[in-house]
Amino acid sequence: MKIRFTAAEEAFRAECAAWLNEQISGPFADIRGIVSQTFRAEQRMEWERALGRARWSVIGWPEKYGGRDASLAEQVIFAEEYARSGAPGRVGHLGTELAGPTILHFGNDLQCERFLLPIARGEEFWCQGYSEPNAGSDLSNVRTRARLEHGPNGPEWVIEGQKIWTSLAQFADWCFVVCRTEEGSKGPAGISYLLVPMKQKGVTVKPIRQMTGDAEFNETFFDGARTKAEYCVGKPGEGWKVAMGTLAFERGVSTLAQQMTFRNELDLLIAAARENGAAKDPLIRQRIAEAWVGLRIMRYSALRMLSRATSGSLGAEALTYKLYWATWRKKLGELAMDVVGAPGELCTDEGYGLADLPYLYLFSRADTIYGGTNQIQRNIIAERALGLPKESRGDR
Amino acid sequence: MDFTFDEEQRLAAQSLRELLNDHCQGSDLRRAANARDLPSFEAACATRRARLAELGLAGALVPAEQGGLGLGVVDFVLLAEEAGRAALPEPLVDVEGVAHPLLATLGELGESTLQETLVGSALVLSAAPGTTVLANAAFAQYLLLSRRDDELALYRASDISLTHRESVDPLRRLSEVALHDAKPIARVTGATTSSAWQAARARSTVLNAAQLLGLGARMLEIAVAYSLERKQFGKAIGSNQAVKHALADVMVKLEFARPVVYAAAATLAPVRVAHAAVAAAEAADRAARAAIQVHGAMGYSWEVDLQFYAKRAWALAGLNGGRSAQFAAVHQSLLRGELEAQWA
Ligand SMILES: Cc1cc2nc3c(=O)[nH]c(=O)nc-3n(C[C@H](O)[C@H](O)[C@H](O)COP(=O)(O)OP(=O)(O)OC[C@H]3O[C@@H](n4cnc5c(N)ncnc54)[C@H](O)[C@@H]3O)c2cc1C
Repeated sequence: MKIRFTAAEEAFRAECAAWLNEQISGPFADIRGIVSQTFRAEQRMEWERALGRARWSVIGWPEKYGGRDASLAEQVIFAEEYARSGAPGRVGHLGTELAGPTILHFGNDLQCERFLLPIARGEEFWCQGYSEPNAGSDLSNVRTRARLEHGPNGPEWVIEGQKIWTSLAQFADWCFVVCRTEEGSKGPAGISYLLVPMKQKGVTVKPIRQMTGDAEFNETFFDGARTKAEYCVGKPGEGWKVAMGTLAFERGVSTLAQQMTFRNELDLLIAAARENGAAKDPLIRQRIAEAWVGLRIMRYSALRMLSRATSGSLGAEALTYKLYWATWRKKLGELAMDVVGAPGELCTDEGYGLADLPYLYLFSRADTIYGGTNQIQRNIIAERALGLPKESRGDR
Repeated sequence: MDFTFDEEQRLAAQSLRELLNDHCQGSDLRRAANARDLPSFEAACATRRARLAELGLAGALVPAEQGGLGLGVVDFVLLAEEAGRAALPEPLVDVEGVAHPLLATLGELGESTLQETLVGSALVLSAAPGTTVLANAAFAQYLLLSRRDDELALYRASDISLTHRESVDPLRRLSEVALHDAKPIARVTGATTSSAWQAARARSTVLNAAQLLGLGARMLEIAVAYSLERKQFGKAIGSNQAVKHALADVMVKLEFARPVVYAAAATLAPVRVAHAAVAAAEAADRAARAAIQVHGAMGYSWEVDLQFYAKRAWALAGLNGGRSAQFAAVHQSLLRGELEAQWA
């Protein structure tokens, strides 16, 4: 156990802080502090490329794939400095945090060579093709199908079906698609994990507007869409394991970066409470303190969880993380509205523009839903960590 | 002690519910929410407005000798609940529950305006001192405003600077109200004026609490219906204990908030009104949270009507000082030892 950083690590901190601050106060000043996923997306894709060029995009990855082989401590430091600089939310996160680590872990050399560098360099963006109209919490109920065809371009998967809630599909070059490749299969068996190009005739993306007014997520239709036979991660029919692996990465180092964002949000809330006098209210003060306590709990837990991960895989306590942060942030959203008071109702412009705290409030309604709902997280903790009997299905 | 409503009170609420069932469904709300400008918004609401006017509620809380129905707040509380249930865009509660009785306190000075608004040829709204944003002001011909607590002044809306502001609730047409040096058509000052404003605030708070109850009940209904219809893991999501318990907790909150709101409506005692506001806002918030959660990603989308009710609940909960101010009212009078007298 060691909770301080070494001199070398502090030097690393100074190096990344200098670079980040220079960028965010200079060429990327326009995108400072943006939280909405879709706002100024073009500039933020440019920002992803700048991170890539300077090799700051995925520092934990191997050097040959655009990373720096950074240690856990360095990744923590970078995440802290990233948030401190006010750099915007990462529009490339589905590639850098989900697709990339999955390919690195489960993919073969050919897939690593083909996909990792473009992710690291911000040249290719990704989206996640899991949910379907009838497969949300019950992901293993996916119906999207793919079959192998031998055409003029060699063997290819041909994909038919519909995904829904596909975040950032409108900007994506690739989608990791969970689909059925074995006719008549049910449940986790017979599922494959395919990497499918988005910019092709057989793929249609239709935006779905959210409560926040943004259209971050989409319906994605695959109608004879194609991808090379070799772009299947893991063996055909054994994609369920890979799909679950991706979800575990959501609980990895990216959680640290996320916590820094949470800290910025709490700071914003405190500043607002000071400014409008809400901070004088003892009930508000108490809740602010509680929020801070929760934030520290998450930070220590994440560091502990990740330091274990360097010596093997994530422990059972990692299963608790999503439930904790999602619940925490939703409460933060509610506190934010009690701080802001009646003016929270006002949009900032006529295009349903929302100020940061009202946006936080609305967006945080979704935190307990995406990436596995709170109810599902509790089932997972109870069944996988505590060994309680599995919930019965209605159909099998 | 009797918490039941009489036949007349129930029938009035029933007929409002029927009207709103016909003219204030999710699809009606969506049409209004999608309106690009004021005229198309008004067009989307026109039929409902006409039907509401026929309901004969004008002047409900105005004394009979001034041309009103002479009812009390307790007679209106179920109606406010119905307005909430439907996320009614029209200012029925703000006009009949708040502005009309306030206008009546102007006596002869407001007489001709009151006659005009009671027959429905003009609309009057009020903004309590310190309020700068007012819903539906763009539709009003008269506004009751003030620069201080002990002043009540009636203005022609056309003399007031109104700037449209978009609300998170796409059905609340807000205006920022600036008095500048507008001249009122009638004005009174003094101690009775402060108490008129105080009473108006109390009515507004308790009737908003009633709307919050209605909103909460509606969201609960929507969530229950969805949890029966949506299947995952081969069964209705509502058959999972986690979902059942979340919805059951909402029902408990709502049922326990309801008599608090009714009691506040019956007496308008400040501490009861504050309590009602807190309890109803909490219940509605719980309902919104559970209903959105039960809908999964669907509940977070603009396409689902649930958002109209959730956003209205959010907006209403922030009015009249919000949770902090209401709690402050309760603990201040508690610490002054005033609650004993109101225990009964
Ligand atoms: C902002 C946002 C972004 C998203 N982005 C993506 C994306 O990029 N790609 C993607 O594939 N998906 C995405 N999703 C979808 C997300 O993964 C699903 O919403 C989530 O898995 C839940 O599925 P559902 O919405 O169908 O809800 P349902 O599964 O229909 O659940 C409805 C309710 O029932 C409850 N429930 C269901 N089963 C049980 C049970 N067994 N026990 C107890 N309770 C249960 C749930 O907890 C929930 O409250 C996104 C969602 C949101 C909100």
